[in-house]
Amino acid sequence: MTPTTPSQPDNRVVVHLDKLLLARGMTLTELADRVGITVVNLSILKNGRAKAVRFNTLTAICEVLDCQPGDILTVE
Amino acid sequence: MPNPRMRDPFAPIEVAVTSLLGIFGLSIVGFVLLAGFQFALNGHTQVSFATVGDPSSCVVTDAGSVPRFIVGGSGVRPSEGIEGLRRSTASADTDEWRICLTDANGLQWAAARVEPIGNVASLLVTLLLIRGIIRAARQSGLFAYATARRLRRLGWFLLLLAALGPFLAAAARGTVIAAAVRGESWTDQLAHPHLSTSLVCVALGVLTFARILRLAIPLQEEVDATV
Repeated sequence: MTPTTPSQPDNRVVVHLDKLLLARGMTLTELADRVGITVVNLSILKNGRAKAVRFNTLTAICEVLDCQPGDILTVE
Repeated sequence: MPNPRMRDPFAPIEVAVTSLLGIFGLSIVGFVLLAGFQFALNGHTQVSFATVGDPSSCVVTDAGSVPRFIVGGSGVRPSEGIEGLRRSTASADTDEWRICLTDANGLQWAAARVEPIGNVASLLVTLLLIRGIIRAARQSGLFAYATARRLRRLGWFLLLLAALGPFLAAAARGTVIAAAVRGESWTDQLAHPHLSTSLVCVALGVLTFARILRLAIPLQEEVDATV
């Protein structure tokens, strides 16, 4: 599965959420339930349509997926 | 999902606008029904709405704006007609004259109705523009270009109303006064246009708010795209 490329022209941050979900055998809905944010918002993040991520969202995702922010986001 | 505990920000203005439009509509319907009923019974009507149906052609003007009438006239001032006024201890005066033409021609008839009909029409247009803003905000959201555009339109309308309306009303008033008072010209009233500084401030406030709203739209879009 390829990482999601950013949709904004100036944004070169790539989100690897789908790769992490696949590795943990977790669905987006399950992650949304455990993190406490909506599937719609997580989908926006996964598909690279988010313009910003709150620190508390990132912390919650990292806690659930047992990873570091650098595992989720990289700069192309 | 909207927070059920959060109050609808448009509720107060929507209630006010809807009520005023309702009163306005009921007044017109009432006027038409009553006038039609009287006309059917008597062949003429005594009801009027914003001077429509009024047989006389009258204007109200500042006493000081018709100097010849005050200084050179021999008429009785309205205050002199106050019954029971203790003239030894009190005085009363009026700052307005109501001047009526008994035999107005078409232009004078129309001129006498410019101000009252203009006031009603401008109120109606303002209410409809506000209702348009509320509807746009409900459909597209408060932070939307359509809402900001409609708010800007209202601001410009109010500004034009504040700037041009008084001069148009003064010219119309002057037309009636020129026909009623010797030596008066219709242009004399243009020096007394009754400009409303509060309306200018409101219009500029609305325009400023529309500009702020337009600047806030990209910020809101960023917030919406923040996870």
